[in-house]
Amino acid sequence: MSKQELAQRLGPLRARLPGRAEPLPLASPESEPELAQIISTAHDAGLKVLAVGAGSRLGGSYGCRADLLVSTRKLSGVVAYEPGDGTITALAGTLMSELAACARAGGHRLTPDIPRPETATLGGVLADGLSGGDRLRFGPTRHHVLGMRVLLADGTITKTGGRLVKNVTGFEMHRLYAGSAGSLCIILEATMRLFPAPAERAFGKIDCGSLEEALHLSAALSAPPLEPTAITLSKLNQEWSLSVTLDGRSERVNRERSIAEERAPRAEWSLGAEADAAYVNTRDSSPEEGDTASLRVSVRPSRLHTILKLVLAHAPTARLLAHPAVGTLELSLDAGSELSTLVTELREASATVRVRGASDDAAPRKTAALEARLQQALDPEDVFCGRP
Amino acid sequence: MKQSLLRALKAVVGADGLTIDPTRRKAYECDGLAMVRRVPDLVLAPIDTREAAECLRILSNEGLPIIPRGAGTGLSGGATPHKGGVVFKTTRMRRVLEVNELDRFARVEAGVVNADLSNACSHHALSYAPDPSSQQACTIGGNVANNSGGPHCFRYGATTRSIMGLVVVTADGEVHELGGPEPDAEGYDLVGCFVGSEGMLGVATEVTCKLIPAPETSETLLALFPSLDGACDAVTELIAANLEPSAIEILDRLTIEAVEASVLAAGYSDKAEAVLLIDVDGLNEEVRATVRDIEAIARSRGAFEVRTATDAKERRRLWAGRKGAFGAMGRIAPDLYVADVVVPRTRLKEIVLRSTELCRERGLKVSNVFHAGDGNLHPNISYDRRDADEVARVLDAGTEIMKACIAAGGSLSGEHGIGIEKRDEMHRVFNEDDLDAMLKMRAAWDPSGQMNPGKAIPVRGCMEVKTKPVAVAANGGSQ
Repeated sequence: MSKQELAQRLGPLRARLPGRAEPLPLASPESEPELAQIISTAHDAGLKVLAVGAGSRLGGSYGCRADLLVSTRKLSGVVAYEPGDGTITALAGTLMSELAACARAGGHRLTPDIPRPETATLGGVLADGLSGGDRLRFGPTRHHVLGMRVLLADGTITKTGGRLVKNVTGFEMHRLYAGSAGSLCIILEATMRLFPAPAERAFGKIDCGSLEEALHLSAALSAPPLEPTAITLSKLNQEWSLSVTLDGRSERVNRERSIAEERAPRAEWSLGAEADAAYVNTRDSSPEEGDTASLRVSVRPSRLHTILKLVLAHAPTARLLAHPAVGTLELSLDAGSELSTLVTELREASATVRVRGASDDAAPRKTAALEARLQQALDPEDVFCGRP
Repeated sequence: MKQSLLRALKAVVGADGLTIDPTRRKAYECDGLAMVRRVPDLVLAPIDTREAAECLRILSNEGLPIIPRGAGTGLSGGATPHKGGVVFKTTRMRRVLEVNELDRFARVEAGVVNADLSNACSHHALSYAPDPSSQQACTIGGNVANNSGGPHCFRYGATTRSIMGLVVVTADGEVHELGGPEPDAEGYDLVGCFVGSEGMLGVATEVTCKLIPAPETSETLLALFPSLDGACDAVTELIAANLEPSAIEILDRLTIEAVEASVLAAGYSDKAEAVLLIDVDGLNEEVRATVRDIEAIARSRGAFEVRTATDAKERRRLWAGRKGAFGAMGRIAPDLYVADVVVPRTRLKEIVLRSTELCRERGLKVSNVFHAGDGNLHPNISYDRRDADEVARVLDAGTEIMKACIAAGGSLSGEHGIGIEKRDEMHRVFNEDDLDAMLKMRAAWDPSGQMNPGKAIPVRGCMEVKTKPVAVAANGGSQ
């Protein structure tokens, strides 16, 4: 991606940064020393830096008052892929699609399997704390980050963790950095745990007459002994659709599919390449960060029905995609939606909410003081203005 | 210890929560790292979060070192008392607060014993995955502090992957609710940051744990090898073949002999030089296929016998032998130094061989029982702490094994933590900037530096003036 292309991609996002009639300066360093120099300069000059990857999302940072955008997109490449160890280490600017392809070629699967991986970098995904639908089986992304190298606000480069699948040496700073949205550091490199690539995949789709039917089927399809890779609920117009992805070695997929057919007799199944395509199509239907506000909501699975009812009451035409067996929901709101009321009610219903593309004017969360101390400890000059 | 302070603390925890008597305090002079001992000035045992917070608020005014402790089964000296310090034990906080079958989580107090949690949820056909060998005694709070592992973390991950939320009390007595049953918290991942922090950020008093459903089938496979090399090669090959068992363990000859001579005799073999013990979980068809593939690999690597446990009773016996292996070593010598190092899985065989050589060169008796699937080695050196020269050789061997692992791309600890045992070796893995970042993070949680000072991070320069080092004595005496 050229600097112009990157600037073009960043364009609409930059327009959302408040108090900036003109586009922000964009730095796209080609080496770590160059990046460190930029950050040191910003640090000394009192400039606020917003770190981005490929610019496909800005997370909670829309409201920040940045003086400079810094992209890590050009710090790209796989540093080490160790098939025998099941780990992959890559620079932050590496596209998720490139990383996944490298792992797949060696017989591995990269998790998270995020929507539109060709538009997002490893560093950006980790900074945003983004997980994929495959977290139903593999858990959230943060569980699979084994180590990082990061650039701190004073220009020093530090490492945390390592390249080992099991390691408790030192504090797990990488867990703190993952999901910190560039507010503590800029991620330079990360090592991820890999899983065996599936030998087979089956994809089942069920058109549901109601939300209740969809949630009932989701519970049935995630009950033991089934262990699906993903269950996805989407709403198009007034139609609810549920999909289930089963993959692994053939003996497992065949057995799981026979159980799933009993539990969801109306499911339409695709296999092989057709299943791969259907899975990717569903994965990529997740709402993009765009011109309107979007929300990432997380709740205990048993409370998702309540949460979805709230969403439908306040934003009946919102685009939404949920992973009901996990308890996560992404939705893109129409302009003019009652954002603050909806967010307040969702939180009152025990959901956690991350607001994208708009300010989150909620009262400070209970951990705000501790988080502020962490931010102050690692970036005392407040150079990094990203916010989770 | 000031009488006024003792009175104030007693008013919070009562007589049962306060240990002043020197003889009873002596029971807390060390954890599983028995070669370093110091009797604490006081032992406090609050019964819940409220008492813990009140005690810490009182202690914060005194600036005394606070040493969080679960069952004291840690092996790296993470709970070794600090001079003038207060041991803050969580073992009276032992209620299972909630088992939520629908959303598959449990809320427990920090002093709940690991095995008791799995027992508490077994009638829901759920279990808590992390299973350290000490699970019959170790506490969930201790597991959180050390990010403990166990045989089945090959598939299910170390403790951090099973922790959803925490209630933490920091040194100033403030109570923090971090995470919870929701899949994602808002803001920073403070739960992930806290797990594995070895009691240096605060005391966890309540833990929300993820539970997993029982698999349709579990098979335990036993492969007997004429050489340790063959067993290691089989592990490398089955990982390369992308097979997904839930646990992959190796026991060497000396370990097998110790186990078979103990009350935990598992019926491994009297002919094998190495035993490969593997669990496979999943659907019936999947498990059968995976066992078949593993069996073929084991035989191709020289296994002279491969079999699966015939029933649940035999499974339990095979695993009891593995988990009791450290205790069984007591037959070899009065004391056991359990090294804990980790290497890339592809370097397993080489490092097992090297660590055995390093011990033999020093005239030490070493046995190996380890989490082969994760590259997590436990060279176990038997010794007698009354022999100062032998203790020195044990420590030297431990250091050399660490160096060999790091040179092979490994690290200091796979699951036991750093504590005081490996604190001064941290510079072999991290530079000054790395360690400074960790200290800055720690200072955000505990600006006073009272929580478990002198552990995990080497003392360097003026940043840690409040965290004086604990000298490691080779003679094993009190310091």
